[in-house]
This record gives sequence, C-alpha cells and structure tokens, in this order.
Amino acid sequence: MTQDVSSDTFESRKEEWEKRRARYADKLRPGKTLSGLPVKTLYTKEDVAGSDLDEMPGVYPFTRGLYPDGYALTPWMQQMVFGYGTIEETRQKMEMMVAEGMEGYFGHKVFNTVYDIPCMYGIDADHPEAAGNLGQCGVHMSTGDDYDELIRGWDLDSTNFSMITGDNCLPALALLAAAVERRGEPLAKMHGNSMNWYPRIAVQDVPSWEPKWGYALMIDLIKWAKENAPDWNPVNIFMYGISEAGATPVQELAYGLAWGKSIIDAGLAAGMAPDDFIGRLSFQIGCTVNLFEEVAKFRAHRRMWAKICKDAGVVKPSNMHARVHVHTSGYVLTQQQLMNNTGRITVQTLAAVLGGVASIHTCSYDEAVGVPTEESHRTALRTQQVLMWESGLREVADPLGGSYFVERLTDDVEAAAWEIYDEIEANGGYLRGIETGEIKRAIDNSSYELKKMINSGELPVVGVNRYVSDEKENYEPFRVDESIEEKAKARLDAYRARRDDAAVKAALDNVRVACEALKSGDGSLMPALVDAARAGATNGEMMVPMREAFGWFVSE
Amino acid sequence: MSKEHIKVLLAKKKIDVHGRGTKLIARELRDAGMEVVYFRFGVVEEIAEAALQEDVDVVGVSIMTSGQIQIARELIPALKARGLHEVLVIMGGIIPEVDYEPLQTLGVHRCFPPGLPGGAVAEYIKRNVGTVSLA
Amino acid sequence: MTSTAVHTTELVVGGSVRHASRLITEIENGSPAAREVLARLLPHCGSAQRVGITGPPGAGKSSLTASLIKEIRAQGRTVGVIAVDPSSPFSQGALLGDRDRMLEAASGDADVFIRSLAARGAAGGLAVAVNDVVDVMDAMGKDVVIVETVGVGQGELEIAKIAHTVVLVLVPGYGDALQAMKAGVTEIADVVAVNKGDLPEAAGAVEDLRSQDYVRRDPTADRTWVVPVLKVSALRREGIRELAGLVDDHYRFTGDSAWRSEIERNRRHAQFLSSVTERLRAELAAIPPDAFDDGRFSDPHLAADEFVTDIVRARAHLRAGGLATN
Repeated sequence: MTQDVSSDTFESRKEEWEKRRARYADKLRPGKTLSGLPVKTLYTKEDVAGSDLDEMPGVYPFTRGLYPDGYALTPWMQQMVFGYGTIEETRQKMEMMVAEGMEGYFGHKVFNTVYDIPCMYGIDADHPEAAGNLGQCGVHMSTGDDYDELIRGWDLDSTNFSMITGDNCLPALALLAAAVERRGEPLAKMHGNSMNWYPRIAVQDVPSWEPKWGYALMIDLIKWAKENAPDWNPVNIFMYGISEAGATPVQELAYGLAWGKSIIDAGLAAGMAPDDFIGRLSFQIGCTVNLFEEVAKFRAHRRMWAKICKDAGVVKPSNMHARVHVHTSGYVLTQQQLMNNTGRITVQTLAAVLGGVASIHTCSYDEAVGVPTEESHRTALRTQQVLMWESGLREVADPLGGSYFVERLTDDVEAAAWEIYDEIEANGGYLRGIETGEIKRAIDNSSYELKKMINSGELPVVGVNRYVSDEKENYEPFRVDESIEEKAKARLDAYRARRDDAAVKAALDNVRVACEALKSGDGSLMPALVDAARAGATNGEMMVPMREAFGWFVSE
Repeated sequence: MSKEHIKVLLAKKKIDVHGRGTKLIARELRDAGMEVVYFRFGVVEEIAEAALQEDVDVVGVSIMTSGQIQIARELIPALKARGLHEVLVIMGGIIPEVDYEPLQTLGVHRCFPPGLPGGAVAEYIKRNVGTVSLA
Repeated sequence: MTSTAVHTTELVVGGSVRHASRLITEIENGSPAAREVLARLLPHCGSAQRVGITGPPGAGKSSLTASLIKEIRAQGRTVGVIAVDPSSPFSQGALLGDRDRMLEAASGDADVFIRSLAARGAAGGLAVAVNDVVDVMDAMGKDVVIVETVGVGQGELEIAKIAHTVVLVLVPGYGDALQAMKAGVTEIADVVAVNKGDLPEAAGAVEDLRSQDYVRRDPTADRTWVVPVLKVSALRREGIRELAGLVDDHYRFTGDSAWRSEIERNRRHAQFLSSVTERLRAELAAIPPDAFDDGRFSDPHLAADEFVTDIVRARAHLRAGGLATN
C-alpha cells in the first residue's frame, strides 16, 4: 500500500499532533544542550529545510565522515592513554595492552604514552621539584636508554608512537629520533604523533614559552618532521584541554578551530605551502555525556575544518580531513558512586562512534580518584570493544545522518561556533587570545556557570545532586610505589655515568646557539636537539637552554 | 566561629597542569564573602611564604596530578616554621578517600572530593576558621 | 598593651614579615592597637620611594609591576608591593589575583614583600588602609614601595596623594578605557607607559599621547615636569629599564625643590582626613538609631547639621579651655 506524503498530509498530521499535545504543551520545560542551544521536543522536515542533505561520506566537506564506508573497512583506533613509573613498568603495560587487543587501523599497534609531569615540565628525576610527581601520572622517560626501551622490538612500519608531552615536545621527538637511528633504521620509518600543543596555555594554567617563541618552536618541529619523518604527525590540536578547562562543546569547537587556524597562519607565514603541512594536523577532542550535541559537534567539526583548509588554499581533499582522536571527557566523572562512571563512559564512547571519529581513548571509571587500576583500564578498553563488535555500530557510515534533529543540531552547533570563531579571528586570532587571556576568561565563565547549574540542581548529576548517598567509597586506586623515584634516579645516574660529558656539554652549547638562531629567524632548533640526544643529553638538560631562550609565560 | 573578613590562599603546585577546580572554588569562596588570594604556581616554600605575607586564615591546596602526601609532608612544617600555627589547611581535588586519614595525620585539617555541590567548602571554612592549630 | 606595641614596633622595624603581615591585617580591620603601633613606626618612615601604578583593568598593571620589581631588585634595592583588588559589592568577597601574576618576579626572593588588599568598599580603587600599609613597609626598610590600584573609580585619584610618582599604564586603543576611568586621571600621571607596545597600534598611541603635552607644575617653584610617554612591553620585557629610570628621574626632580615636602604634607593630610572619616563613620554607625529621639529624623539634614556643629563647637571649646594634654 502506498501512502500520500504530500505537504497536505504533513500539514494535517502536524495539526493532529498539535491537538494531541495542546493539553500539556505549555507545561513542558524548554530543553537545551550542554552549550545552551535550544532543543525542541520534536523535529520535522521543516527544521532541515535549510540543511544540505545531499552530502556523502568521504566527500567534501566530510560532515558524514572521512571515509566512504565509515568504519566498515577498518574500525576506529583504540588508543588508550597509559604510562606510569619508569619505562620498565610502562613497557610491561604496552605488551599487556597489545595482548588485550588494543589496535589501530588495519591492526597496527598504537601506543598513546603519557609522560609524567616532571618530563612535561622539563626536569629530570634528580630535580627537587620533581619529588612526589615522578612516574605518578605518566611515564618518566628522559634518557636515550628510556627511548631505546620504548621502541625495542616493535616494527616501526606498523607501530604508532603517540607521545603526550608538554613543553618537552621537541626534546622528546629528538630523543625518539636518536633511538631510531641507534637501531639502524631510517627516520622516515617513524610513525606517530607529537602533541606540539603549546597553544593550550591559552586555556590551561601551565607556565610555558612566550607566545611568539611557542609558535616558532611548533613550526620548527613541523618543518623538521616534514623533511625527516614525513609520516609523522607533528601537531595535535588539543581541544580536549579546552573542554576540560571548562569550555562548552560549542566553545571547544570554536576555539579549537581557531587554534588550528593559528597554526595554518604560522605555517604559511613561515613559507610552507598549504598542501605541505595542513594535512598532517590532527585533533584531540573531548566528549561529554550530552549525546546528540556531541555527535553534532563531531559532524560540524569535520565540515568546518574542511572549509577552513579549503579557504587556506589546500587543494588535495585528504589534506582537508579533520582526523579526530576522542578522549572521553574526564571532568564529567564523579568521585561519588564511582561505578556510575561506567555508564557515563559508555554513553560518551557511543557519542564518539556515532560522531564518526578516527580514534578513541576511553577514560576509566576510577579516574576521578587517581590513576586507573589494571582492571578499570581494561574495562575501559573493553567498553570500546563491546561497541565495536557487539552493537552493530560499525556496519553503517554516519548512521544518524538524515535525522531531522541531528542534521539541524549539526547546523546549529556549526552556526554558534562560527560566531565565536569569527569574533576571535576579528580580534587578532587565537595567538592574540593567548596574550590577552580572553579565551581563558570566556571559558572560566562557562565553567562557573556550569558549576552553578550543578549547585542549583538545574543540571542533574547522578550521585552528586540526585540520588546522593552518604556511603564512603574507600576505593583503593592504583598506586605507583614511591620507590619509583629512586629507580628513576638510578636509571638517570647510570645513563649519565656512561656518556661522554664533554660531548654532551658541547652539544648543549650548540642547542643554546640554535635557540638564538631560531629566535633571530635564521636557523632551526630540531637538528641541534637531535645532535644533543645522540650525544647523550637528557630531556631535562635540553630544556635548560630552551627555558633560558624562550622565557616563561602564563596566560592570564 | 565567625570572622568578619576571612582571607584564603588557594594554591596549586607549580607543575600541576590543571586549574579549573581551583578557579571554581576561588569564585565560590569569593561569593561566600571571603577574600581569596589565588596563586597558581607555587612550590611548597613559595606557598608558605605567600601565606605568611598575606596573613591568611586558610591555606587551600588543589591537587590533580598527585603528590598530595609529599606536599602535606613539606607544607605543614613550612607553615609552622613561619609561625603560622593557627592557619586552617585544606586540600581538594583528585585525592583518594583512603588518603584522607594519612593527610590528616600529617596536619591537613580536611580534604574535599572534586565536584562537590557549592557551599560545602565555604561552610566548612566558616565553621572552623580560627578554631584550629597545626599540631 | 603599650609594651606589646613597643615590641611589635621593634620587630617590624627589624623586618619581621610575620609581625608586619599581622599588623597589616590589624590595620585593615581598623584596630586601635594597630594605630598605636603605627604611631611608633612613624619615626622610622620616610626613606621609601613610593610609586603608584594606575590604569584601566586589562592594561597589564600587574605584569608591568612584576617587571618593575625585577628591575628594581636587579639594582639591589628592596621592594614592597601593595596590590589592591576590588571587593564584590554583593558578597564583600574578593578575588586577589595580582600576586599570581607577580610570582615569577617575587618567587623565593625574601626582599620582595607583596601584600594583596581587598578594597572593601572604600570609595574607589584604593583600600582605606593603603596609606598605613605603605608606612609599615617603609618602616620595615623597603627601599621602594609600589602601590597598584584597582583601575576604576573615584579613588583612583587618591594615588596621587600617596605616591611620589604615579605611572599611568595604558594600552593601544586606550580611549574607551580612559573614559571608563575617572576623568582627570591623566592629570595625576607623572609618567605614561603604553603597555603591549608590540601591538602595531602602539606607535600611534604613543604619538597621540605625546601630542597632549601633559605637564606637572611644581607648586613651589617656577618650573614644570614634562610627562614622558613611553612604549613598554611587560610581556617581552621591553622598555622596563627606561621606565624605571624615568620614575627615578621624576623622584629626583621633585626632590630638587620644596615640591617633595609639599607631597609629603599632602599625603599626611589625606591620611588624616581618611582616618577621621573612617573613625567617625565607625563611631556613628555604632550609635543605634533609638539613641536619638525620633524627632531628629524628621529632617535628617538639619539633624546632621546640628550634630556636626556640635562636634566642631565642642572641639573648639575644649581647645579654648586649654586642654592640659594638648
């Protein structure tokens, strides 16, 4: 039987619908997304009259995904963040994760290793400020020995090393390159990712380089990678950090894209051609429990980035790909009724998959307490694997495409984000935003508004302002034994004892000279750092001349 | 005990990378009528020195990337060495509940989990400021 | 009481941060004991060079102050800093964030004493206590005392009566910000610093300000100080040495005539006025409304006239009576 779907029928059905809800309609509280975008109780074809519903996945502007068949050819990459203790402990964890089935595209290995805070900050194990933080929230890797052990035995062609660094981004890559050389393999075999996320200081309270030099260092790494390790991803745009600092999903999107645009601007100003570097930029994005807004955010993100790239002069379509790694948002997890977080993480992961992202890290339910245990970390990985193999989510590209609500929300999120993005661009761009502190102020305000909504109960959080319990959790989180400090120091001492101190000193002097050359615009730093790594300089030692040269800056 | 002007130093350790929680608490305490010195990048000695120069009633330390035991172990003696024996010391953030007791043994008066509904920290301070000593 | 005051005075003059810091809290709370110590500190005051930093919010006053601290420390001089932030009119609470921005300049340096003060509803940018806190730091032996103001409101002009030299910090595109500050702020500036000098618009701003030909007239002699306008960048640490040099130049210039003693007298006069005002305010507020017969409030202004006249007359009477102690 065929049905008439003419507009008359739609109109009359709509009338009927209105009649049926008239009794209670004005009692409904208007809904909104986490970013405050209005949400109606029903969406129809009228809401997508202005939407482009003819898009195809794998085709510009990629709203429906980067690949024509979504995850059907190969599923998303499971990139669990890990790292603790010295490289010895982390190495065991790497092997275990491989055994647990953590895989990237086409079965490649992916190691998303997070450094400890002293490494990120740029101090070695024997520095007094490192006490209490060594190997605690990441792995402490600072010597050539550490990097040799990191890559030992892994096939470089099919292994990705994603290095979650801080200010030590360049020294870390130099240490990795020297280790690859020591194995007798060409640098071109290096696969993985430098974070290179200096611009995070616009939103995070970390002291780092002065803005001008921060960008010069980013570009230096990009150029070095382009010439020496062309498959290396030299930049990660850390939208996750923006989100964790308190941005709404829409702000995260807008500021993240402005961040990306600031790198495009800096690269072009440094004389690179658009298709030479823009395609290697990638993103790391947060994902809250607000399912549909997150799906809309990921869809809008791909579309907006493709447009920005095209405007910047990129010609090759694959260079317009917004390659996205999702880190499920940590700030939504609660210390109260800890196990509830497993439910949150499942919804967050679902949103990322429905949003069509390339790679996912699932937080562990106990991250609100501390570093995950082995069991909670495995369960987080298994959450992805359940969605991957049991839910049927992989079979269809962009399964929510064409949904009146999701298409409309994608457009709404995009429009709201462009508004913020355009304002930032008009005020001198993201780089200026670091200096003025305006991005941080806007995000701080959002964070406070959100907190007030939780305080008042307007934003329900189960276990916090609903279904509250007085029971103590007394959860015992993973502990990194304090003896790790001695172990890290011993490894450092042993490494230093074996090297030629005069050669290290000479190499570090060269680093100092190269820093000045970079500042004056007629030299690069990375080659000098690689030389220093070859000579045996440590992470912390390479950071000393860099700190002297590039200053100390905090965005207000 | 009530005090007309309660002054609080809110600090986090220099190499900790977060800030959201500290800033939220800073605003909540301000809105509860307190004067909040907000201090993001202290090593323990600097935190203690700031507490001294500002003559605060309360020192709050926010933790995300661990190190709470180490900080308490150094901070309490550093405050006492400066003659700040009556200052109320609180900690908050990503601290396992099972650490609360050892931290109290070290001299921290109270620990708070992250994401508490507003007012809890302010109420605690108002009730306890001026009534404690660093044993 | 007095022996405590003597003891505290000795400790503060000896440089005890603990006691100075406690005393400042007492001053903020308007305690009578603090006044007793202050009186004893006065003979130890007078050697500090006082610098005021004013300018609209967002001009980078704290970062500039931090740069100045470093510069002054590099010259081997000790520094005290008083940083004032506004209090919330709703909660009376305050976020005191200036110290945070000065950390790098101050960290680990025992010769830098930074104290954050909440304005606590003082009629404008400066906390009532500021002048007294300046005396405390002076008595402690700080060579330079810097006062950083809130940057808006009536009280901004007060800084001119506190400091030897007022630095007005502006940023390119300062027009609106200047409007938002109290009119007349350019009339109290002795040095104008255009911060964020790396912005392309900075040169134009400097030129524009220079063309205003701001001058300060020496009230005691026939000569003028031409207000210098210079471009600085606290962020890039450019122009800071020059700024510090100009502040010192101005300090020397006022010292070359009776102008300096005029400044000192004006400051003590301002201190006297605010002390009397604050104390009377406190005394009056402590009298419950029912202490007056209701008839007085049918015309509160007339009642106030009578009240003030009574006080003034009583004072004249006491003085005429040859008060034994005074």
